[in-house]
Amino acid sequence: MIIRIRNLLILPVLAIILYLISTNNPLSTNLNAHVIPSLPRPIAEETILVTSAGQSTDTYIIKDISNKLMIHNFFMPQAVNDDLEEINTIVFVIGYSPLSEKVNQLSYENELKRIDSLLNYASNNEVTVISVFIGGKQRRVSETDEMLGSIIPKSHYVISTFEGDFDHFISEMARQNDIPLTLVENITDVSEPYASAFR
Amino acid sequence: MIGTQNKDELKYGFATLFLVMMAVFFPAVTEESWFNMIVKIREAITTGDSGHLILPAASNNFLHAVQSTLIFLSISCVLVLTGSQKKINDNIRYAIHFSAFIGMNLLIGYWMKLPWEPLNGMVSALVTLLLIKPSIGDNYPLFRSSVLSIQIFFAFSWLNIMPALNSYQFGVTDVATSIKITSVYLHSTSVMNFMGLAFFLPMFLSAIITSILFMSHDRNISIAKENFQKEKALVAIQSQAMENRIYEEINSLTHDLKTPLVTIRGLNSLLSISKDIGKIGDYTDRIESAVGKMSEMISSFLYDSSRQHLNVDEVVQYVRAQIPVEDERLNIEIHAEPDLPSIYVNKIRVVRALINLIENAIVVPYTHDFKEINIEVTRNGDDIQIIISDNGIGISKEKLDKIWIAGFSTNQTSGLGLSFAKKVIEDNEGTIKLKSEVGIGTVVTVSFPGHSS
Repeated sequence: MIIRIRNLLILPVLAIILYLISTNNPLSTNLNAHVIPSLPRPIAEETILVTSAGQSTDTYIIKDISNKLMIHNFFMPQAVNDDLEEINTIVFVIGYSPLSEKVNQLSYENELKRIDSLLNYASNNEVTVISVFIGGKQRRVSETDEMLGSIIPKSHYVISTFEGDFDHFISEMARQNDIPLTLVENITDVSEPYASAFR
Repeated sequence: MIGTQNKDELKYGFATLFLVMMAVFFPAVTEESWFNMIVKIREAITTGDSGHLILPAASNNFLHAVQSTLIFLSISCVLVLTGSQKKINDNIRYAIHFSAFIGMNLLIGYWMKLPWEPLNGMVSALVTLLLIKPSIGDNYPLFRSSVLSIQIFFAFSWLNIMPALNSYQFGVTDVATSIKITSVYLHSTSVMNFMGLAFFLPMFLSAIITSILFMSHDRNISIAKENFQKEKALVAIQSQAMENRIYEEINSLTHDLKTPLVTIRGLNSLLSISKDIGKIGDYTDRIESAVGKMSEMISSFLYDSSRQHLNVDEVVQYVRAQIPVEDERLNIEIHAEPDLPSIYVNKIRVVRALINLIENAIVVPYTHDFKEINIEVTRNGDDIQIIISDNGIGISKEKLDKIWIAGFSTNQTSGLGLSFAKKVIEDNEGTIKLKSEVGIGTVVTVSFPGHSS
């Protein structure tokens, strides 16, 4: 036998490891009372600013969805307070991407400061805040969680994928802060709840 | 030997240094490429064209595979350099290799601020070690490790971009995650899954085939080495046997030399007591003739080319005188045609060859009551034929092709008699043919050209 049978014993071990890793099925997440399929009435007004929290490429997806829904928007992943003039709604697309931060020559600390500053501005100027997290489980690194922890409590509406809320981190925070939350099966389902915030 | 060892150590030292440096600084050198991938993914989203995802996917996999391969090989070199093959048990060494691979990935990832694919890295390193273990052999270990690890790391890196393996923790780094999220948004998950599998499967199979080829190459080399050793041993045995044969021939010559010596001694004693001058001349002539015979015999034995015209009757008589007839059930008949022409041969050698043939006929087992051996000397055109036939058990057709090979024997003898006889007969411009039938007997026909002078 060219490949020894003994060596093949590793395969069932690998299979078990893979099974254990995969058992955390996003579909098994329990819904709580704050989870709604979409908003019953609009809560935000145009013009909107799509910005990033963590500089992931997911921000470009929400910009694209906004354009397709013909929602009048400005796309500024690194927007600062000065960019918020005449802006009625800020859409934070959350997801930490170390590479994108490097590309944009940003540091994580500065990114946190920028987000805090925008949130303070929004709070002081009655600007609606919508948080979108479409990154799924793999984007849920500690930096992303820290950003989710700062932004969600100050949001008016949160949209996430089921996979992104695999540990109920998002839904629990939304429940505690009494914020409406929509969980979608996948990214392509974001359009409907997203549009419901405006129309 | 020590020089070669030092040379190898130096070679591995350089390779280790080069690979470690490459592995450590590779992320920094390729930083620009990582940035380009992010830009390409953004382009894919903006244009809505999933085709833009292929390039960053390929680049991501390429860079990950190269990085992993460099780390893997640098550890291989370090292990070779420390002489761990001889000092540490194989399984422990592979466990060290595996742990060092993980450690180095984490270290470089932490230092260069670049994440790594933990599960993919571990699985591919494990598979590489599993394939390397039986196929590395003693030949070109670094080359083989390189060929196998490059293929496996490249193959497994393609699993990172497959959205189908999302829940299995494959493709958790920034770029891989972005590619998969974008592919979901652009409805191209099936394309990415197909592409991942289409690259993974052939590369993985190729790695397995390469491993099998390495193993089979090693096996062939070891078989070839074994055969070479066997052949060497066989040649040594044959050479020893041939030497023994030469001693036998010398013994026989020594025995033959005794006859003229006895003659000389006898004549010499007669000389010492003879008073007859006429007889003294006769005795000295006969002594001279005996010395001549001895000289002729010695020349025949010493030099292949020493040949003389011989009367066939003389050869037959000489052969007859030397046939060992000790068995009562052995019946040897010799018939020589009268007035045969002479043959031009090396007497001692040809006679020894003929005796060898006759001895073969004597020792061959038989099933009849008596062993019958017939020696017939006849004329065949211009040739003289000496036909030796027996009623032994005969030789099977399969063995007939091998009987002329030195060392081959059908009856537990040295197997050199026939090959020796053939060589001597052919050296003397003769031919030898052998016909045999199982259960009936064997006929050996020796021919020499006749010389009427």
